Amino acid sequence: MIKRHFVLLLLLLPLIWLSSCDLQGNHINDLQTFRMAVSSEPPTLDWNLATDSISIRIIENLMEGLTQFDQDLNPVPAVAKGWKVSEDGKTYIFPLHNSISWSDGKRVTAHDFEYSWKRLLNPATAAEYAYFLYDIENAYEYNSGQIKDPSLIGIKAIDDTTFEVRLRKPVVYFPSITTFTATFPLRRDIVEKYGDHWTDPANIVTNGPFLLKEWRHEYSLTLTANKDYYGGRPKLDAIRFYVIGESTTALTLYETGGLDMVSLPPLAIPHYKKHSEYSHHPFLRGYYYGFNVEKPPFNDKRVRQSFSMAIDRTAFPEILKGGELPATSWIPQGMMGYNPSIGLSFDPAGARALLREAGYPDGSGFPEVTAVFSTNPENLLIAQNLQAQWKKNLGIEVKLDNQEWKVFLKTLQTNTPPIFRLGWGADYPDPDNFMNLFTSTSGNNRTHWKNREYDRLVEAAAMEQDLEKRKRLYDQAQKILTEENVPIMPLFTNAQNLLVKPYVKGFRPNAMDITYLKDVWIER
Amino acid sequence: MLLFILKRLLWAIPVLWLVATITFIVMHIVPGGPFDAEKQLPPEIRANIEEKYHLDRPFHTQYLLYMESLIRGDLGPSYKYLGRSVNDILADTFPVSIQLGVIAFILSLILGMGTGLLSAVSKGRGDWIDKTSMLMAIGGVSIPHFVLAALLILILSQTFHIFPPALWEGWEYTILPAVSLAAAPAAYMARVMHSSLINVLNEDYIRTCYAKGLPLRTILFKHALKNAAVPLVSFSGPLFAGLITGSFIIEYIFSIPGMGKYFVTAVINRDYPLIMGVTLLYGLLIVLANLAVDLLYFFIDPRIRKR
Amino acid sequence: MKLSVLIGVFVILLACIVALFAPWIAPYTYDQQDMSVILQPPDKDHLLGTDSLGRDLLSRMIYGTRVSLSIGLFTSLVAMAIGTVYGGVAGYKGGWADHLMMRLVDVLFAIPDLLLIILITVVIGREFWGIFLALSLVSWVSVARLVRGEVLRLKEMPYIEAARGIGAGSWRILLRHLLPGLRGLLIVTFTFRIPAAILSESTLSFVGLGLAPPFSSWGVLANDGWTAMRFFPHLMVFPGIAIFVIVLACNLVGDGLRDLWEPKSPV
Repeated sequence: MIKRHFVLLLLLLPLIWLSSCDLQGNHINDLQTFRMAVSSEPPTLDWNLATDSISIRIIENLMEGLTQFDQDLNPVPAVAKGWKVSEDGKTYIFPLHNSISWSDGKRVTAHDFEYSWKRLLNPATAAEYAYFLYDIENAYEYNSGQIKDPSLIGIKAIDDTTFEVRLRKPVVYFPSITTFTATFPLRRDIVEKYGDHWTDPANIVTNGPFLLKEWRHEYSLTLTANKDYYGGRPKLDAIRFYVIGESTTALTLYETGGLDMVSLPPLAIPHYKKHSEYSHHPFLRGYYYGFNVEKPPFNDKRVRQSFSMAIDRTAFPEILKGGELPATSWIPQGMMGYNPSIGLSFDPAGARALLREAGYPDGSGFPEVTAVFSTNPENLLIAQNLQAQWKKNLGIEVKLDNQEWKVFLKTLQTNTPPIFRLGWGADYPDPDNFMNLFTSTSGNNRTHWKNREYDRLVEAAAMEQDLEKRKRLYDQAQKILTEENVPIMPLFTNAQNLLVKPYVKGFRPNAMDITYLKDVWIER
Repeated sequence: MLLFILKRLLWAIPVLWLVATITFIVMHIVPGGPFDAEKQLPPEIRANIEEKYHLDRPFHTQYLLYMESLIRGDLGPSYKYLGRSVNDILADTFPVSIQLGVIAFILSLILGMGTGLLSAVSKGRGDWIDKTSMLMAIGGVSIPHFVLAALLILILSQTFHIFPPALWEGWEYTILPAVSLAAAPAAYMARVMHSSLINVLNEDYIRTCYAKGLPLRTILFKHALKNAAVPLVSFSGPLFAGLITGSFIIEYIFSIPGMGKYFVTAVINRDYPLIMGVTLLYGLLIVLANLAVDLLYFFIDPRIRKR
Repeated sequence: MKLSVLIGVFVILLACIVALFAPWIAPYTYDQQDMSVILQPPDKDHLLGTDSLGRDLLSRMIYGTRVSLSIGLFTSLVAMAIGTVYGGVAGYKGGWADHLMMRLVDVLFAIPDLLLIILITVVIGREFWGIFLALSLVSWVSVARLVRGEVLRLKEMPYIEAARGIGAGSWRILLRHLLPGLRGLLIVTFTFRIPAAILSESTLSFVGLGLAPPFSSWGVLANDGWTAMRFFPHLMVFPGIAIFVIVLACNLVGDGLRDLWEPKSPV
């Protein structure tokens, strides 16, 4: 008898222990709390080190830098009052507001920028985005260890409210770069005092509309309104970001009232298309297939052109359902320089003719090629569709190889496949961020394609002050990239598909997929 | 007895050392490194990062460095989650997985043994109970748990609003994930219980009990059950270790901040120290669970004792 | 022979025939895309509906039978074979041999499957054989533990001791006396390994280690379908039913076999 009770007790003990455990999170039902999902834990909130869209999305609500971009993605002043460029275009002076303060009351000064930028470039910081500042004098040399003295870098706080940057060459889009989170100011005292833990809610010091209140790792982040924000206290009392990996889970939560905004998974889009809470927005992210131009058969540009012309790009929005925009040119819609008339459009007959010219009539004699991509549902669908289209329009059977993500990256580096899938999302809203990708010096150009004329055009465009002339330079460069040489074939640009509750007001998504929440409020 | 336990605990050291060494080697052989990213790093920055984490050192030096810090109980920094050590990450997430895992374990024990017992006893009499429970068991195991979870969410939270569909805010949030986790092991236990109970009931000592005219209940609970549970015991050790270290899919679907996700994401990110961390913790739990299993054998089946 | 066993055998045979003659049975090929019928619910042209690329689900399932059936059956068989021998020897030998063998099992148990699978598939490739080998190699360990536990119990049984007493050799005892005692457990474990293998293959595709597209398998189909369950239930339901039916059939046959060997009624 005693024994049986003992067993029962054994079974019950964990239950008793469990009920005593603190499972209770703090429910927030406050009227002015905005709840949204992010798809994974932000790897870091250290803005010198953050590289991913989730960290950046959170940091953008905590912090402000010299500039920020407006609804049309033009850089406008933020902590800086504006900027002055020298005659030769190589020196930028940013005068700062003198009334902006950190969350602990101290003033934001030019020294905070100087410290942040030098920390970003310090080899010991090992920041991935240090190269954003490589256009600055001696920045590259310092980051690569060729010089040891940071005072030689062209970054200087002249006084508390004047920040000076000296560039190696004129860069017309420099104020766009300073919208990027990695360039936001940093407090030396805080970073040095708390080390790796300076981003913990108890330690972090920020200057933006919201403050980091709580960070439950892998679960949620809570931000509260900064009543001392120089632009006026935001209307929301709090924002809660839940870390929700599975998009259908987020959707269910939205529908059961647990979230105020959600990004729709592809297969749900048709169901909500007519819904009043649905909205659709362009997104500065290009989706492309690249060719290894050094390996036959794709060392022949006629073959590359033929492959690009054999694709009916209108199939993609039908398959993915997300309002993707088919694209034959590389600069995405919503960015300066966008020109949809550039690129090779669908022409199966022309494609077959080119293939015949290259020596493979109706695909006969074409060597076996494998298209390689990393696995996700979107890539899988697109790859299989491309495979079918090439088979149908060119008579060529392309093999597919979907690789696990890191294996795929290794393959790209060490043994670039003949055809591969990649994408590019904007870091800052300037076409240079897209066009620079395929210059011969770019580390992200995996096609092995090198073209002097293209390099020259892109470099000239970066220095060109006149908008119209700059656009023409990009047009020329895009023609080389997507019509004449075709090291890549752009397929489409992604889109955002959102559901937002009707009581959420003032919410304006932008094409950078960064959600500024300072102007949002809730009205029930 | 105490000596036995002590000896086994000492054995954990070479076992864990072997686990650590093999995992360390395999993880470095597997293509792709922690700092390969879509946006490729300039070589200078890459060199800086690799120096920071000693990835530029020769393989054996990295191994020795890791082992050295492991002995000090330091599992190292995470490569993916900057500023967080693997110790921090495990300390944050393991308790959550334990809570969920323990509930799921108890649930699967009760459901599995109960159904198995019921169906075995009713075999030959109420045949339909046997059949239904078997069907349920097959259903339980052949429905993938992500589908079961999706179904439960669809019915119990979306349609009837009984339980929340996801998140981790209170006890009501544990029910759906626990049931999803428990279904497959419960089904398996039910089937094993069923088949081994029938075996045991055929043994001579049980027949003797019948012959002596003992009531069914006494025969079952006093004599048969203990023996029939032996195969379950060796199954439930690793099961327990597996459940309390969390499940990638269930944590993913229900957005639960447990550590199960790292068994997949750490590998995908090639977050070497985190891979080592979760593996060693899991290995330790396996060793302990199997020790517990072997101890249980002693209590359950006296015949094993005289080895 | 009971009716249920016949039904089970019939279903398994049918699945084998479907797998063998897939190209003749399937109304379309597994990769034929039709942009005009994307995500159609079942109708008379596409009996089970179509997927996101306008491919016929029925045809994809018929071709998928090949992969799922062979992965499910063969990896389970291999895992059972290795596991039974290893666990049997460990349990029977006992003592130091058992101890060492079981510690090795602990080691293998703890090493992350995913790492091993990535390694194996990188080396061998992600054709059928790579996946098959990867799944077989990581799944025998748990069988070994189970069998060893059961052998430990069985070998102390009077009839085994009697066999030993009259001087039967180790192998004879193992094969003639221990193995029959293990049958029940082995059958149940085997039938449960099948869906587990079918589903782990789908989990592999989830992280990009599964079969290369556009080939299909039930696991892949179920995995593709579950997120769409609310909007396009046919994508999930039919592959789910297929897995369920094959597991049911295996269970029916397994039960039948066990009853055949152990015909005594317990009560």
